Amino acid sequence: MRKILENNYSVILFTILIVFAAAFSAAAIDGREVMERVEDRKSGDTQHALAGMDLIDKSGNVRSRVIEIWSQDNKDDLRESVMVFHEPSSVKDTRFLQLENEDADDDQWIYLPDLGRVRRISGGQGSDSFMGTDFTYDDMKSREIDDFKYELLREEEFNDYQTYVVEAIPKNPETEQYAKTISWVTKEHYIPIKLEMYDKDSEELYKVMTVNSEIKKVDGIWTAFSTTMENLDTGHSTRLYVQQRDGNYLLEYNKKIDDSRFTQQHLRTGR
Amino acid sequence: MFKTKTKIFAVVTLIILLVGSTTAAADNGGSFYGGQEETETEINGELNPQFRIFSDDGEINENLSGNLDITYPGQTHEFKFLLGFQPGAVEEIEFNELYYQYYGEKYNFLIGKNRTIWGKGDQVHVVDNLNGEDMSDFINPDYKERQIGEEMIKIDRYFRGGNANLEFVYTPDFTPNRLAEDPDSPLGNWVLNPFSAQMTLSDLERNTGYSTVEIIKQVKEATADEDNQFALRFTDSRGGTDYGFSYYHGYLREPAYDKKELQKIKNNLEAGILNKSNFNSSLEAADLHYDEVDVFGFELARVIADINSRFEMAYYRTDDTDGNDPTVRNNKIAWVIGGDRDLPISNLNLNLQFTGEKILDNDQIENNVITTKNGPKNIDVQYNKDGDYTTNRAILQLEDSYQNKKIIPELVWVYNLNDNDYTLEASVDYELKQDLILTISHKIFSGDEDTTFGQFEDNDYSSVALNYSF
Repeated sequence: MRKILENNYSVILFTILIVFAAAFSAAAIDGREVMERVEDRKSGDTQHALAGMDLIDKSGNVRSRVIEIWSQDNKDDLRESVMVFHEPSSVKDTRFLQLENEDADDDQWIYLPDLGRVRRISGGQGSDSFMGTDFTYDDMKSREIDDFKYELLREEEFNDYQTYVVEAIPKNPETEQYAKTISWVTKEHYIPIKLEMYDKDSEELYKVMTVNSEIKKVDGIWTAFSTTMENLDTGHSTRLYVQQRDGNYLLEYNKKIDDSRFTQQHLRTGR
Repeated sequence: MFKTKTKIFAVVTLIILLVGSTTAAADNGGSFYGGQEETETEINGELNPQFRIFSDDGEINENLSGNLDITYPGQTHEFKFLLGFQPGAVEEIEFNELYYQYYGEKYNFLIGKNRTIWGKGDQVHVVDNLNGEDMSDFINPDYKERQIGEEMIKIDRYFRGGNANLEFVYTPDFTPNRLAEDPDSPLGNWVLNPFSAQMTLSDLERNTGYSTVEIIKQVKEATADEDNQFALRFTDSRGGTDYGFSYYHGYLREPAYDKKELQKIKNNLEAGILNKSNFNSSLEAADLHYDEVDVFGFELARVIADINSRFEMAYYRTDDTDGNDPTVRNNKIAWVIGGDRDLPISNLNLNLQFTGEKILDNDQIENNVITTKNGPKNIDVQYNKDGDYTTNRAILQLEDSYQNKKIIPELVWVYNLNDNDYTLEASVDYELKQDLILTISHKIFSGDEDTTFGQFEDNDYSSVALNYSF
């Protein structure tokens, strides 16, 4: 099991938090404006979450992972993130630290209990699976809104929500993983509750991400508690959800996190 | 002596544990999320049933190894107990770790049995010298699994808000590398012949009446015990580069000896008069000992062109700074350089590292010659008949993954560039279910009989193993 963690993982998983989070906004006019409002959504200055990830194969067999994530902007407005594996047992206490740099690549380290030491790593390759999930590194990467052309295809009801259906086509297809994406964005929260991804070569529907929980406010921020990404080619899917601790869902925004959590000391000791 | 020290360490650790538990309860943790983090005793472990089929004789050896890890993971006080068991090893049941650790804001303090791993290399290091290595199963287990726990006091002082670290370690004992003893071990025959340059173990067995196990034990007992090691290491990270400096004072883990005296064993063998008595007296006279050494190390890691690059370099300074003492190993420089990166094919990751060493003042080694009735004879413990005093080893790992990392094939090739001997292992991990992994592998050894891997040419094996974590 250690092997799956030795590859180049980053703590960009904190961006998964952004999958959960969205901010309320006013009505939109066209496709680009819808996506600008999605882009502008707030996710808080700090985040802390306990997340479960179920890796489900086409036969329904489930492999589960439990991770805890802390993330914040430091005094220079640069992002710091820590991720700790709680389950499965074989990777328990594996920790990742990512520190954003202003004019250079992010610093990323992994602490592997099996190796007994901290190891510097580089970011993962774009189309690689993130930790065996159906999310790729590219799926979790933030993108410039100007890199795509948008079209509002229609407005329709989906899963009891009124949505805008927006198509996004990359201006430079060479640098992107998909031929196009189609998003179903709620009018109420500006959260994409369904996202279709089309294969770059065949242009066929390749992956579908759907929110499969209610959308609720947490610390004043609209939050979806569960999302599923399905790979239609392999039949494999990944369910990502907020987990409970002591009977309560553990997802917090804007709560103070001690700066010491984002240090080599914490990476080595877990304290 | 050893037992007394062990007892003292165990008592001190126990007392501190009891005091620590009370304090921890009073503190109720100090961090922001302290109240939510785990402070209950945790029990984890692994079970590894394994079948090895040796290609040479078709023998099937079954084995069940594992470990039990009991930890009290308090925010300020931690107690750890890690018990390993490995049938067929020299020590079949062993406390790998048993320590108390205090975590302060800027200081950490550890007392007890522990394994420290220093350096930036990936499972290969030249600046990591504090723990002995268990060679019961040669180098088949991972690096950390081979490390032998050492009783120690370790103090960590953090700087720059926790991003730089100064470590100090003192160990009252010195544990040498633990060589395999039993050729009939269920792990296979990984016995290294300490007299490989002079004679075979079967020659010795025939003439002395000792078994292989007894011969290895005689050599171990004839080697002088040593005490006390201490080491310092400073590590920091700036501008995308991790770096560190270290110092170690202790002993080389491979014994040195008076080659003249060991030559007498060979002479007696050739004369047909070798027996238990003169074998033991020659061993005694050979002054087997571990050379005292100071090691000055430097380590560095940086991502260069998407390559996770790693580097270690160390200067080993023994007492033989002139290089002319035939019974003491010369000074040397050792290094590790390499890195890994993902390839744009499938999910491939390529990891290539080179490690090596250069023995200094090797001209002095060549000069350590005496005249015998059979002509001139070099008596330096490091003499190499090929005049090869710089060695290089390449370690290549190629890993891929399929079905969302459920299936992970891997190829590991370790090749000694000087002797052209190597070991090659192909393996596939298959995650049967959560925390249960099936590993199927085949490993081969190749090279001349007197080389590191060539001596195990008959030990090629296939393996079917399960790993269950709980």
